[in-house]
Amino acid sequence: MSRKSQQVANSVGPLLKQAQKKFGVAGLLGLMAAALLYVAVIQPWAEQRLGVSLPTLIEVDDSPTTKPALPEAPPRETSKAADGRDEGGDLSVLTAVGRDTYRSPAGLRYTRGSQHGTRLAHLMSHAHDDPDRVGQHGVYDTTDPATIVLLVDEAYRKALAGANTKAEREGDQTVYTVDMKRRVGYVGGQSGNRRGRPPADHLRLVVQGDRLITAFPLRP
Amino acid sequence: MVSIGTCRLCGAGSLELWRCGVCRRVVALCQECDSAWPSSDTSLRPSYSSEHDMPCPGCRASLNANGTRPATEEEAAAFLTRR
Repeated sequence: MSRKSQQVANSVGPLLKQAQKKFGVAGLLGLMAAALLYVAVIQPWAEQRLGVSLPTLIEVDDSPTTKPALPEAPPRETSKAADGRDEGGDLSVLTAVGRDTYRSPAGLRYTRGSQHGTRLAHLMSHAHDDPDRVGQHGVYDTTDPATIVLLVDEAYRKALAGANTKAEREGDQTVYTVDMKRRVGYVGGQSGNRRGRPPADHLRLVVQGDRLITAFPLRP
Repeated sequence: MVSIGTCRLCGAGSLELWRCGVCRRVVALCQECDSAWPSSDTSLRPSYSSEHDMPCPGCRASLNANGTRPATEEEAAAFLTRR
């Protein structure tokens, strides 16, 4: 028998014996029916419809066995630096909204997809330079995932407000080029490295609705 | 990996040539924004990545599926002559 069942039995047993002596078998059955009606119907109805918390018939302390459900743990993105060391990062700024899907404070959704598996992993590919990459590769000044997510949020909010933003829409995708008015990274890749890694003060965001496709620093 | 230039949409991604594992068509796929074209005429409207997938612009099968591989030099040459 479980701890909860034992507590219920210990509480109800003596009461039933006393009630049987006082009211007889018919009276006892009537009392049990009334108690059942209260617990199963009246108390839940009062709480749901009226917002009134009626007293419970039996208080059961079940704290050792049941704990309040914790919210789903936020992702902990791990990226590899160019030299191979692991970089853990706290991504509690993101809220899990589905399988491999997270929402940022500004409302951007990070879903699965891309050649990296997830949009978040793709975004984090811009935390490091890729000197062999053909053309340019925008690189953030920080490797901290939370800082990057919040920076992208800042650019997204500016883009939605139309502040210092150039927007181009084609089909399902919108490309925002946002002037961040400060250095946010540099231009790497083959092209950027040839030019001495020039600083980047713009952020380019590619979105489909509220779904982030990519975001990286650039120098327009 | 054969690249045919930079994506005109995101302005940063390299357009790499992949051969679809299902329809065996060679397509140009932006490694940055996942836009994909079925021919070298990238002025046309591309196909975009969906919620969880990268559909082939030729047959809509997943480019993440088994069998999709980088295009060979010969396949790339044939792709570039196809409009």
